[in-house]
Amino acid sequence: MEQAATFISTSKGSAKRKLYGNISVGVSGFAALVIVSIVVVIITTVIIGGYKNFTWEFLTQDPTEGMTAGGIFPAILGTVIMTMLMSVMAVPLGTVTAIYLSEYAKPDSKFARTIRFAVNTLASIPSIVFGLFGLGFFVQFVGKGMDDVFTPGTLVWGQPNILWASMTMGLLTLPVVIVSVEEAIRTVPREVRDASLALGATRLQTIRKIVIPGSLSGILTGMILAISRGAGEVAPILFTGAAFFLPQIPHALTSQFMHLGYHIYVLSTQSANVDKTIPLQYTTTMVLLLLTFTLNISAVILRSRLRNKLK
Amino acid sequence: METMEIQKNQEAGTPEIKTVMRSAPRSAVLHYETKVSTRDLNLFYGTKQALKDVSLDIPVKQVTAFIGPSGCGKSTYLRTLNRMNDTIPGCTITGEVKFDGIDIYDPKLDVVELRKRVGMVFQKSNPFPKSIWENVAYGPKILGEKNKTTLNEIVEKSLRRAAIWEETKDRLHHSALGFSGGQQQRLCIARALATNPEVILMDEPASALDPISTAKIEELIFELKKEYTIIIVTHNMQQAARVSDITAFFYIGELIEVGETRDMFTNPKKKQTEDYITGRFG
Amino acid sequence: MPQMPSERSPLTLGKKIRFFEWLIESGIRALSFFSFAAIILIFIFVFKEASPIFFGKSEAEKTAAKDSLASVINSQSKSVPDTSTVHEKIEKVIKGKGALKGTDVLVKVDEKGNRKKVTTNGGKVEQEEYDPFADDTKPSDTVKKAEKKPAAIKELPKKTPAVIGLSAKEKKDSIQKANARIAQAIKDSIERAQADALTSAKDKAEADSIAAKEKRDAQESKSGTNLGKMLIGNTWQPVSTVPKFGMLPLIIGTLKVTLISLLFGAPLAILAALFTSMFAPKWLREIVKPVIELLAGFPSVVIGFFALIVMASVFQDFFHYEFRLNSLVGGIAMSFAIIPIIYTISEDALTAVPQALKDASTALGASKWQTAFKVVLPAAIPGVFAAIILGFGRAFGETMIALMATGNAPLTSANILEPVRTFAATIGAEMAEVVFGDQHYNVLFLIGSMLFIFTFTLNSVVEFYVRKKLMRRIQGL
Repeated sequence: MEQAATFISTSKGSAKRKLYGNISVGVSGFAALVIVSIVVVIITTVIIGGYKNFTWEFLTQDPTEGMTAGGIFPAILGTVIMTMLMSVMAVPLGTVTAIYLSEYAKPDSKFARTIRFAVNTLASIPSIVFGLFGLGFFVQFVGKGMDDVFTPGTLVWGQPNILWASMTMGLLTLPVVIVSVEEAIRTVPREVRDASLALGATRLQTIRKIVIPGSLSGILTGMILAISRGAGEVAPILFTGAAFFLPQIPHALTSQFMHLGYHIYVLSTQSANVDKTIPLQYTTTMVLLLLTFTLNISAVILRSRLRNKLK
Repeated sequence: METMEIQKNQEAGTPEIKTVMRSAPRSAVLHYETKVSTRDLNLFYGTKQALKDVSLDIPVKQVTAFIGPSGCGKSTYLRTLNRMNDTIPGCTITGEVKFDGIDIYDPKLDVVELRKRVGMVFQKSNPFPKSIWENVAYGPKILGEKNKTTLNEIVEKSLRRAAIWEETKDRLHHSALGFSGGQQQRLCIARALATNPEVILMDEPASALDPISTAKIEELIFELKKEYTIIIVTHNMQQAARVSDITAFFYIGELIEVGETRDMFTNPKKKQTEDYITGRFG
Repeated sequence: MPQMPSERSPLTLGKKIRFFEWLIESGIRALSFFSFAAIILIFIFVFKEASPIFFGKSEAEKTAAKDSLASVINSQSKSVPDTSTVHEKIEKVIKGKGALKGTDVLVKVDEKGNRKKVTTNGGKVEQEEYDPFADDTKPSDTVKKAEKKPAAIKELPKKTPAVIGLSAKEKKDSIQKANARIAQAIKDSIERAQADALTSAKDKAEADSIAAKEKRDAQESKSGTNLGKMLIGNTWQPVSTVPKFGMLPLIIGTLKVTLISLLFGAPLAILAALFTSMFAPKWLREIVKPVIELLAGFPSVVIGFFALIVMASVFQDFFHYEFRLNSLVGGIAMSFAIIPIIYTISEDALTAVPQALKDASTALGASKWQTAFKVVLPAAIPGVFAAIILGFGRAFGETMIALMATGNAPLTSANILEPVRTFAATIGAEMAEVVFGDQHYNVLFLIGSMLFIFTFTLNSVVEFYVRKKLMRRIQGL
């Protein structure tokens, strides 16, 4: 009621209101501007620092001279291989799980609610905890266990490697995939599903012909975003398989691998000569940003394309 | 074929038709062969009872209309007839629903087989986000029809029967979502016809449409009843009076009265029916 | 042509058998339950690994610890500098993983473990006193206490060295020599940490040295009941003769960084959300929103890199403080990571406020900003609150930014211009050089499960309290 009273204001109040209005728009606009400029500054700094080295040679050569020169090919390749392994594990599993959760599990059952809560929680768990899990479970428990059984006395699986790193990362992205795919599936209206069922389609036919095509853009977007998250994360692979320098590219699941993000981290914090490698660091960062942005932007384009197609 | 004859008789002279009594034994339905019958049907959403002891016989190749205020259970009842309530969690059903004498809630019944025979048109037009052709061909495809020529024939025939062929024949491969609400709803009817069901359930098919589209749909229903058993839920009493042969009045989950549409609207037997028809509530 | 109804066989009982359908559906079920199991497994495993802190260890676990220690030591058995002669020095370099360049803080401690003096190079990275990659390591730098249990060292099995990624053959390669040296240097700190342990392994007599005895005594005195006390101490020295796992500095460090990031990031993000949802014209919103959401796509290592290389120097030049990397730099860098989260959730909450409500306010003669601040914001408060909570959770557990930009020194100080170390960074920095199954390992897992419990709690609060309240508010109004 008080508010209502103040709304009916005199001309003097009106001037004051206008001032407040301008201030509030100005302050909030300024906040938006600050954030936008942070983004712009980071991107431009990285580009200014990195474009000079951004050459074909840099992308395709191995590091040389104690990492102070040469390219980052093994890191790019390592990132790509790890991301692919991760996607092969997380994307189908996550998609199927999301389909199960949204189409088969009773939506209000305790079971479905528990799982959904666990998935949501897992999606917000710090990535370093996944790293811990990967080290403790995959490397120490599964890997060591396999070694004890198959090759007692030698270390084959019981040490960090690309497989364990990908699996750790896969677990990290699993909830991301589940949540986004489920969200996409939920955009298919209930009525359309009912129509299909009423025509005599089975549940699986409905899923295959109506639900999945209808939410395909959302599913793909979710997958790509999950992959981009996986490609950019470093914490989970810190001790599950990433290596600072490797003379050869990963040739087996038991090899370690180089990773763009990890490369940036070690170069900027642990290399012998930080100053000397700063241009390389910038360019590596640029490549990583480029990679994740490409994934993100392709997700956006894909989404809008598929939307248009449906119209 | 027997039923066809009855149909013809009906059209030729207006036969004297006795009211279909609620809870009446089957023999009491004199002129109609029963297509779907329910006995003591109770339906619960969780602990909330949505239908209470509904017993009703639905005659073959007639239009049966369910009327009643919103939330009275008429749509719920409609959905029990093709077991669409199965998809709603926490929904339990007791009693008996028979389709051609087969209990459709028998655990041994294949619900897909039932739904092949019972088509449904929903309140909100819900075409698939696909082309017209694919919408209509969806049902036959699901049922195993792969021949493209046959599918084309089915699509054309269904669209013609749904009186939408002329409007869509040039745009068969356009997305169904680009059509108007009325066209979409007729497309949905065409889609339901494509599987050639025996019964068509219509859940307020015209409630979201303009008067012209509504008129078209009503015309269509009138045409369709020659071949199909039609059950329509409506909140529009004029519509029920216009299109239906039998009317059933539902109120708070109970079937209050059922009878010949003419009788029902001119001479309701129950007070509640009268109140509703005369607009005292609802 | 479709069959006429009359031509079709009448409805009969009996289920059709759809084998492939059944097969695929079973597959879907099996896979989903597999992933549910994996999810539940994470919950269980992290807590299980932390539990020995409270319940003591089984013999099996102890053996496992020894084995893994052996393998770790073996894998590093090459080119370990012999530093066992410098035991008596009581100086310790606190650092991240190995020695984080630019995050170095030299902490001198006396025998009781009290900090005497803190120095840092406070400036450019090249001024560092500690260079782990120098060929000749200065004695003062290499002083490290063996952090491994002597009991384990005694039973070193002779295994083939498994230097990861670095075979002897490669080392011979003259071109790769320099690279090899660096890769080796990365492991330097670990190696040095285990230097005397290895020496003991080679020579059992040495293993019984005074130092080792001390260690054993210290270890024994620390078992069981003292742990609780130990964890609330104010010194974090996991790798010393007497390991100290006082979490106070970590708690302070984490809170400092998190609060700074929230204080800086939350108002910005919420105001920006208000701007784009209420004030901005449509074209501007179409620009601002994707750009802010783009920030969410930045890998945290990129933000960490930016903070470490660019922001830290700019800030130092500008404010002229002593430590280049500190909780302020770390906190502000961290806010870049949480701004998009808070922004997106707040924006969702603000736009979820029904248009009717805004219209009602406008119809009463309220101006746009009055509607925004007196109607929309109050209605969306639970959502904004949820956004802040989730942002808090993210900042709490963010690793890479903390690892790279906060300085990584476990100090107990309220000064925001001093380096700090967060929980997540501690795990990230120390886990790689820990002995599997020993106390340090368990303590790190304990920290991990604390992070876990913490984010779990925050998420539950949001899930069960805030969302409900939000729905009630928006629908109830």
